[in-house]
Amino acid sequence: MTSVNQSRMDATMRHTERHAERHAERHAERQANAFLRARSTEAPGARRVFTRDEAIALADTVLKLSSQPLNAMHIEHRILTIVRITRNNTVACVESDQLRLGFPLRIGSDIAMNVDTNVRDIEALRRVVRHAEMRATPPLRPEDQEVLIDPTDPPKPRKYLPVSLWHENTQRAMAVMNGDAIARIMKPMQGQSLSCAATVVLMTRATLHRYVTGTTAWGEDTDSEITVSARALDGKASGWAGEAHRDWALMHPERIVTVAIDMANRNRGAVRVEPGRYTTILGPSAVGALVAKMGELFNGNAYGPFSLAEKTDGHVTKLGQRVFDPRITMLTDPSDPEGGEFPFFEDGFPSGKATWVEHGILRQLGYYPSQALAAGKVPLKPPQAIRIMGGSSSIPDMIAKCERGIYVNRLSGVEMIDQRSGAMSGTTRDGCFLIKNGKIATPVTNFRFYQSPFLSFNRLIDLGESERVAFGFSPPDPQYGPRDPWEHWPQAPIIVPPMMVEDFNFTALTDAV
Amino acid sequence: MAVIPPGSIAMTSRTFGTPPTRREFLARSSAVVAGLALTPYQRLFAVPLRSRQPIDSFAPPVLDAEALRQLARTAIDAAVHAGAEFADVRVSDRREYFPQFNGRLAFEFGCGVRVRVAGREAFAGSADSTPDGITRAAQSAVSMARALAAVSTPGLPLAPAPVVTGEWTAPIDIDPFTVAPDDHMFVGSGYTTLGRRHGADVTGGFFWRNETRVFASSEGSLITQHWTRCMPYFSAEFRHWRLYGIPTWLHIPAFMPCTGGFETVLGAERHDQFEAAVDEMAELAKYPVGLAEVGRKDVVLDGNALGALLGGTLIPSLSLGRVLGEEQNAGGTSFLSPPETVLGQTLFSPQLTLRVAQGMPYDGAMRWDDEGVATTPLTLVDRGAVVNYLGTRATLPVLATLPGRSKGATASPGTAFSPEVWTLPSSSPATFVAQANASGPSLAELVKTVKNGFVMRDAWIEGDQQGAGGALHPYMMFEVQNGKITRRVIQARIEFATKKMLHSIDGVGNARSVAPGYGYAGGGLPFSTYSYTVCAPAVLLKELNIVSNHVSVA
Repeated sequence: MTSVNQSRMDATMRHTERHAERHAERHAERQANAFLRARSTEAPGARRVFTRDEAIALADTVLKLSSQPLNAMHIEHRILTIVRITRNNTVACVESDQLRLGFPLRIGSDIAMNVDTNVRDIEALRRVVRHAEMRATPPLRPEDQEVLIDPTDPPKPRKYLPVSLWHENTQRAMAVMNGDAIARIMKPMQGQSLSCAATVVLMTRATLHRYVTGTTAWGEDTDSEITVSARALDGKASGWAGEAHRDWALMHPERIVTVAIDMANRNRGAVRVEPGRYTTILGPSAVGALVAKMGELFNGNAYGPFSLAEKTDGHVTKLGQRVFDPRITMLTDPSDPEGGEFPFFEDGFPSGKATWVEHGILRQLGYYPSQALAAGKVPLKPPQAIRIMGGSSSIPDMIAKCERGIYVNRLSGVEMIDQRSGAMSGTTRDGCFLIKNGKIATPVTNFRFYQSPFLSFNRLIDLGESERVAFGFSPPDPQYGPRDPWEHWPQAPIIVPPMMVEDFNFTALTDAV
Repeated sequence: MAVIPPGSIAMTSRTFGTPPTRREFLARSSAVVAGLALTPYQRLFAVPLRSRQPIDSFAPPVLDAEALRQLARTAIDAAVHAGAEFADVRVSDRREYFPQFNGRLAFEFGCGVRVRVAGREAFAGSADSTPDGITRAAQSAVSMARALAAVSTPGLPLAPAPVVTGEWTAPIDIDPFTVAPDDHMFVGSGYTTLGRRHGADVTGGFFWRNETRVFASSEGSLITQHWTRCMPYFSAEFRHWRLYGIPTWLHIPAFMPCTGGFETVLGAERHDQFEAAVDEMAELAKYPVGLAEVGRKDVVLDGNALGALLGGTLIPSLSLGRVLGEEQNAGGTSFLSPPETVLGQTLFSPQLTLRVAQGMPYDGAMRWDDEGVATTPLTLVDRGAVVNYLGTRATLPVLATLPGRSKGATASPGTAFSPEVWTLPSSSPATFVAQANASGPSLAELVKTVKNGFVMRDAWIEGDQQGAGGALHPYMMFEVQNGKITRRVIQARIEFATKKMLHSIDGVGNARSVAPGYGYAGGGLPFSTYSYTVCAPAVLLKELNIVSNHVSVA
């Protein structure tokens, strides 16, 4: 073959290859658009959040949109169904389909801008990416540079703990709108001299972190929760109960309503009791409200009850020291079928199982990837999902052994007031009772408390069996303002036992019921 | 103002190089206003993001107003076709820009369709911006409402509202999305640099939101609104105040959330206000520190602190949804119930008057609310008496059914709002105003009237689920003896019952004492957070309960 013919053949082949590449790209983009848009023809009960393959196909398409390659992409797709029952028989229903696509635009090795969007069109995404004009800026002074892990170029292959957080029962329950469960919840409410309200929430979620190197962190989960509150018509008594399960089939709707109604009826005629320090039996929901605020204190760089010295003196922790009663063991296991969570950080870095406290001794602290690199440690997510191993006692047993104390069903508005001591404040709610000589004596009006769980967990008298607690709606942080709408619900699983503790500090009475 | 050599002050924010002088700052501001070509300043910023092109050039809105209107019509048609007897929809195209820390640019589409079928209500929210997607949301809402017929009783009809068609654009001078990221950063760092003069580490900046929102209803309304919101956030840390290992933060009140353009952060007046605020804080930072003496004391709250108090207790409690039990199992109930015993009754000090502020330049300025009702001035508390609740077309009709015929009106006053369009509208306007005393004292003059008490500068509130009481935690609190500040006190809070506390107002400051405070509440469907800005004057309160926060760790 002559050199001219060879050149022509090479050019033709190059043209053919480019044509095939463009064809494949357009096909991938059409596919990605199809995934982005709602599927209007799926059968009831069919999955509506992205599957792993769909999410990866979408991510790979978006990663190729820019002339300067995107290195990483995050996709989160969540569908919530919420049914709200108020005034015993009025029902409102909401469905929310939420999508988030996030990626950093890069120039060279620097992150130029972080883009968040829920736009469901490839052309719109292409316009943003391709039209950006960014320029590199002078390098940072050495003393000003932060040591950061670059999550887009992982030095080693990543391994993720296998987890199983998806349950088809929950997916199916969303589609049929829980018609049966709604009726089962409303039936016991009828004929009561109480105003009853309930909230049923179901969720399916898929999340993907995808890097241009092919590293992928994938997670999918389902979750559900029923909470019920009952209030006397004169507004002077209230009760509450709730359950949370990833698998809807484990839910007991009638039991939840019955417990809430019973609590409200028992709470009628509440009397005022002098505030002060009491032996207190905290129900699982009350313990859960305290534990839910403790997670960030297990951050290895936090200044809190687990720290011995300030940063300027060298950050020293209490690792290896006894910090709680020896009966307390706290852990996080992503593969826990009830208490699990995604086995990675928000940027896709792997995070594994942790035993934070073992028989009262502080064993591990969490470090975000950049902190871990600086400290020479393995990244470990500070806990959101927490399990405290239970004991063999029960609430009736604890009440029977209590000479004088308070039983608290639930805490509300719990906030960390002093990070150094872990002191928290809030109010009791929906069931508070005085105990005398081993029996419930009388309902009492609500208290405001000011107490550090780091004191209470060292004043432990007894603890019962652990269960996952429901939270219902999580109010916004009063100090820092609105939460990201994605953070409202679900609460990561908190599995805790009821606890009997000494000297729980009730500082004042509150008028709120 | 002298130029500060690089490296002479420890910095935590990633703005380096030579900070702008006041002259440079004003010159640059003028250049932005005039649209002139900007001089390069290669070494001013070392943060690796920037562009000299306006944001609009690479991040324009995804959908224009006509496309949004078409989607809204599609949703209404789909809902009616599926069998809804009533439907309304909100669709929105929104952009947000957050210049600090690598710059976060977000753009979102959202829609929310509310329907009624045989008196049952359902709602579907979605981020799918296609006709198919919004059709599906409407159909989903209708099928949910139908499913509810088997298990629930019909709700009351919605309060009537006139049919409206129209368009409104918030009047601004400079769209922040026509400004380049470089200029955003320049302006923001100009302010943060001011704090370093006094050894303060000032962080913060401006968060911008640009939105087009369309409302349509099966009754025939079609409304398009465009607005731009600015949310500034600055705080100053004084490192020599590091106590117990926790740095002390203080918010800088020179800015407040508003509806406005880039012009709201420019100019000599703004620059000087900011500088004065930092100067004042630096002076306060020099006072010695000690523990507070607990007990009942007179306290002056500045506007920030009173705003936080009202935003965290009274305002959520004025939501009719809470009063009627709609939020019983979510955001909470209200101590201002039942309505028939509250409306018209003087429950608080006659010096307290509170109203909704929905006009320019307040944050949340809109011509029509998210149910298509014209926003009107609304007084909630008039000289201590509750005269109105915050309601929506869905909740207000319940008032007319209550025993004794409630005194409240059932026509909507236009206060329904969805923080995100994929949430059901609820009664949550963004901004409120507590009336100042035109001839009243300044903050400093109020402090001079205190013989043995405290002055609280900014606060956050820890409330209970009814708004009936709580604890007010100061960001800064100072002991006052014979009208003079003697020292800063820490580890203290004020525990209060709301009614009693607001009844004990003994003096209200003048307009110059007004400052924004922030309160937050939650509720709605799906769960949402409502943030309230309350522009409030300084006040003197008598005999409040000062309690210690101190706790020893075992």
